[in-house]
Amino acid sequence: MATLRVAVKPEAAPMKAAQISKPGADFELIERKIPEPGAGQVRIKVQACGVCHSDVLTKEGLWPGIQYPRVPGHEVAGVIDEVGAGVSAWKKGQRVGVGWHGGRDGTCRECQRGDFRNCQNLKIPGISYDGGYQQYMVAPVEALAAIPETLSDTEAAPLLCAGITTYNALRHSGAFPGDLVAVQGIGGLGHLGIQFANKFGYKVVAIGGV
Amino acid sequence: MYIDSGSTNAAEALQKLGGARVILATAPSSKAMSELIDGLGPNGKLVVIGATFDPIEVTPIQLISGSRTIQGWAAGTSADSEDTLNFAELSGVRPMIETYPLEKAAEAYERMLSGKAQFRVVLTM
Repeated sequence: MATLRVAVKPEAAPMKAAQISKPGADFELIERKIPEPGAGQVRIKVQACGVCHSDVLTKEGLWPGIQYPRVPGHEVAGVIDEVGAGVSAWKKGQRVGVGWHGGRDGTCRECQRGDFRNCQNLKIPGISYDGGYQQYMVAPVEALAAIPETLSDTEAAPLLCAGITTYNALRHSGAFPGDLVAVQGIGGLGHLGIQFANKFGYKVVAIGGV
Repeated sequence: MYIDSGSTNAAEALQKLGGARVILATAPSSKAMSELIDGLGPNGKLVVIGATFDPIEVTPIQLISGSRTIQGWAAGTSADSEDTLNFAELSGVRPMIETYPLEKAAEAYERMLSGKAQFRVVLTM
């Protein structure tokens, strides 16, 4: 992989971010210091970030407890450019994605049962901490997914929320190959849901005009 | 197959096909979701992933007849993300996207809200 070396240390250079300063405010393009990863975290040089309808939660302050200013974005594809203390499973230079599941407490009843998806203190990128509408972001290791080589960053990003949500919902839906499965809505989620449903061997009906 | 719910009663159209085993409701419209419940077949399930704050309307009779289910679903863990990415690699499933530079985040967000994007808006850095 070709790397462009820049004379300035990344930590000293500012980066760009698109943030929301308060509920209902417009996007602000700002420059700020590149964040440092803490223990159990990595820093990701963001290459692409999908724009999800759920970003409205941050933009309009519809999710309880959001601290502003906040950088939205939970469909992140990029490359690890720094690892924090105690991180052994991930290395600099690895391509990773971050989706809606941005971290868990590991101690609540649901986590104790292994039901991480329903963690009582689930962290969501762009809501609980700054997300992918910026050039560098920090994320905990439990939020990281490895990106296969054949997928580009812009292809991978939408798969990390729109993709996983449709794929996971369908594969847990109880439908078997040959069953009639309808996908309502042909947008960011729906156009992926239709493709997954087709590859799963369902008889697929797309419902548009919503 | 394609059903245009603007010009067709989609629930009736689904029943003519035998009734849906699953309806994956992605568009954030509770009204559209409510109108589809009668398109479910026996033991059919409406899986809700399009997030809104409006109520879905359903009567107990609609659920009792045919033992139908309405279920929500939220994303998944990072392992589920890897499954998704690997399945996309295996199967050739790819998103269709419109890209905007980070500097145009506001424009990109408006494009997403318009519902007219083909189909996912993606920011590039």
